[in-house]
Amino acid sequence: MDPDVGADVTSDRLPLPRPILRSRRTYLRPAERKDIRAFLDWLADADVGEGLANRAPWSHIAEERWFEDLQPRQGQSIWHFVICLRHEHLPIGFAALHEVDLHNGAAELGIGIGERSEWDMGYGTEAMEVLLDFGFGELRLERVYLHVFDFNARAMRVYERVGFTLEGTEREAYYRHGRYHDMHLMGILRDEWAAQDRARTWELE
Amino acid sequence: MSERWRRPFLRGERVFLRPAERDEVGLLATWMNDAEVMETLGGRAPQGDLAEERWFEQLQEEQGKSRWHFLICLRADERPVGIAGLHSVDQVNGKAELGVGICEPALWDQGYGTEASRIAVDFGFGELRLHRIYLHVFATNQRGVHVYKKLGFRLEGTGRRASYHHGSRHDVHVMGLLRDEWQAQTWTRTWERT
Repeated sequence: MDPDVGADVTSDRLPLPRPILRSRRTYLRPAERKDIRAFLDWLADADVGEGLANRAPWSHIAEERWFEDLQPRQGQSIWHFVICLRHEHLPIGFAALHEVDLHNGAAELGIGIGERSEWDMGYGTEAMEVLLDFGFGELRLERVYLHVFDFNARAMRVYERVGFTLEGTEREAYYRHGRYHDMHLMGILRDEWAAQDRARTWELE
Repeated sequence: MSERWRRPFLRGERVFLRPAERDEVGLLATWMNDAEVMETLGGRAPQGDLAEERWFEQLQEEQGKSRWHFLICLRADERPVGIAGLHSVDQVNGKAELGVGICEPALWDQGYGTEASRIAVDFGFGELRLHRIYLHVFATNQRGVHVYKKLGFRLEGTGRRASYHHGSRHDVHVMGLLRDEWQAQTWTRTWERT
């Protein structure tokens, strides 16, 4: 569908509609084939790969295959999004709910800011709040959880700030750089999200 | 007594593990439809033969790769009494998830599940070169937690309200056993059994 269809160019409103999944400065949209190049750049960056379970560089063809595999699962077992900046529509990273289990009402959250020039700006925090609003507010989830490596203290602080609670530590569950690392399990429950005093994604301008 | 299981690979004192065969799909379906059995295994609804057959065919693709699924059989008469397996086998990180269930309630509390768990753990560390074996168990399943602790598994955390059944939300424990903890266990390894 042509994205410009329906845009009213005679009004004062922006030609692009208000994104459905938005924070103050970011929005989430599904990945398109044209994003593959950016994904490859991000995954080729050793510092980006450090916090992800990414051990080796990816080829274009492998990333294309991943993209094709994603399509039938999108909206079923996974909701994968690209994080974009609202003021310039620039993709800076990805955020996803995967292992979506609507029977138990649980899903696992994963996020990464691939553009290192955009680190430490709070965009990841904003995108996570949007994703939690989406999971609890649209998918009727009861629980969102995540795994974080023991060496990623910065990410843990972000997750705690967003409302996740440390629930346990899976010992030596991840092998990286020649040794085993612990993986922390963190979770946030529906009533904890509901008690948060902040505007939901659908309430924001 | 068949020739085949004269001396099974994966053997304990009273039980041994072997893969399920196609003509046993009906038996598996019977177990999966037993409310008492499914209480701890986490089944929600009855499964038809067709679903079970499909599951079995899918299993054949995964067997020996991402999972090792076995039937627990009695050594005395070769009767299948339950299931034991390693799932989500991750050879890069060196870990897998253990799942065990005795599916004949008359045989509960006789140590068969403990014995089968030991065999599966020996298999994971001793043959698959794993570093870590973990499992998920409902927090309400105290009998299960007790058995796993006895085997050396440590309670590592609790996924709060991670499961929904019987009208409410339930906590799910994560328990783990590391390779050196297994090595410190003094039980007779499956390959040392007669």
